[in-house]
Amino acid sequence: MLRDLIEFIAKALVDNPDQVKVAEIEGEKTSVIELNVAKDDLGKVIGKQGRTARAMRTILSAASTKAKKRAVLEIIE
Amino acid sequence: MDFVEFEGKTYEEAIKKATTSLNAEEKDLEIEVKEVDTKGILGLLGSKKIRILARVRQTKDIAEEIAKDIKSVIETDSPEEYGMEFIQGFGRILGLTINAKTAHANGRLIFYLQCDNGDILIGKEGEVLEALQFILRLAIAKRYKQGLRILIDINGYREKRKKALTIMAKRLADRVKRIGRPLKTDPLNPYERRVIHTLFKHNKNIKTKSEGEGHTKKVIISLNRGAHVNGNRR
Repeated sequence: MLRDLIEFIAKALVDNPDQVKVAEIEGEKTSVIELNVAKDDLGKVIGKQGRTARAMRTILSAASTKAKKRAVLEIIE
Repeated sequence: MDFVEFEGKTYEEAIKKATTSLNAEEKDLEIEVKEVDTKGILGLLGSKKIRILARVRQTKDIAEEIAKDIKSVIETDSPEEYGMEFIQGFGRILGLTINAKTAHANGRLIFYLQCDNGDILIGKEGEVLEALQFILRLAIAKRYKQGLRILIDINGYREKRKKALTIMAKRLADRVKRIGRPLKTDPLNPYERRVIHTLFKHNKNIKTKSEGEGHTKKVIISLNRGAHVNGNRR
């Protein structure tokens, strides 16, 4: 669910949706969501002063509360 | 258009005459049965004739249907539709049922959402709501190559927040008047600050100003010099 969520959001924001790859590394209590996008799209998922990344993290942590888990978003460069 | 009278041996026959003559389908006709001269069940045994009055329906049903048709043609793949899809998709992933409708007000496209588990989507002090709104605005801007001012409200949260802010700001303003020096609000996001600025826009005694850097800023509420000299409330 968390993986799908980030994929859904990222695909809506980038120029190359087909190059959006999201992996979820599940730990016992914490999941790490790794977001991979085309190089040109990095700015799009980070945003000015990291605002987009922050918004995604806010939504992700809200969603992970529902999943009774903690999740961390890592944007892979 | 006035009613026209039609006559037939059966109800169906009369309707058929009406639809042919008025060049409309049965569902678009307003029909009144005027006279049934029959011994049996309508349209069956022994019916001699039936007279009906019919006219093409002109109620707003049709007007609405047409308006809807036109709208769906014009607005296919509009920011409204896309936004709705986005929100629904988002809800599906989170396993939330979201009812959404759109409206336009003050140059903004507004999405009103109803959701049983809305608190998750609002978050602490509306931070999730702000994040969601920010992402949706970006997604719409990306797709339609134009910035659009949008607003999302969930379960009436913004209305409630606006009321709370208004009460808080009025209290602060009263204190400012009493003690004669400026007071600050808590850090507020742009929409919330706007509520306060708008509230005192036409108040000659009170001045508001945002202070700080970044997304959330405090609003300073102070007395307007001049107006305050004789405490004059015009």
